[in-house]
Amino acid sequence: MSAERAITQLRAAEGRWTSALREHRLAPPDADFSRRLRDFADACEQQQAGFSYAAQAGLGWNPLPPATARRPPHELTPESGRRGPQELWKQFDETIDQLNVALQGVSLQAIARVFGELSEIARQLSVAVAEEDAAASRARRAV
Amino acid sequence: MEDPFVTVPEIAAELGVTEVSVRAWIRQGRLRAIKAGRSYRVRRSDLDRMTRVNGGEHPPEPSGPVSLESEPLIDQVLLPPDER
Repeated sequence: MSAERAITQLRAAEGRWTSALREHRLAPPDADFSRRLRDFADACEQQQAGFSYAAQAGLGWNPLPPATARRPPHELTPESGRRGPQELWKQFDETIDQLNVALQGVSLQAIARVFGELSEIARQLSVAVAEEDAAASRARRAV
Repeated sequence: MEDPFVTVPEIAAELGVTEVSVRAWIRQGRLRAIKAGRSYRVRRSDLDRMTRVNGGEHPPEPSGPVSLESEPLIDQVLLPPDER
């Protein structure tokens, strides 16, 4: 477990994370929402692995400056009228708040843990939205 | 009143963080320490003061909401001293 390898992992995870966030920011409304959520879940999972690896390699974390909130792209906020189970979205919002707290802390393991939770919730949302889309498509064909 | 010294490994274990983080706090001036040979010693009272400040007694004023995209996370990662 080397620091150099950990940094390489983190750079790859960061690339995927920023790409997933950018996709949500630039996407046209509705199209492919489920796939973007899945990509977001994958990116969070890679961040979890990267931060875990960095903690094991003995790296440290310089806390981000305090902010009242660190907000995801508009498509992932309540104001967008996002589709999917509201209970899951509530968990998503709470976990984004936990990520803000962890990023202002000093523990790489805490950040890894929150990214893991975020990945799990985003994956469930992706599946739920895909099922909603499939049901809507079936209903349209039946008319 | 007695004010014992604690070491970097002891602080890391107590707070559940890496030794790299503790040494970074010392370098940044957030945690007062004295050099003892090649290692640091921290007075218990100074450690308590830092954890009280960071724990919310006098928290720094937070900014308003920021975008998750606006801060590259990789820039916040601290390398061990021998890897720099």
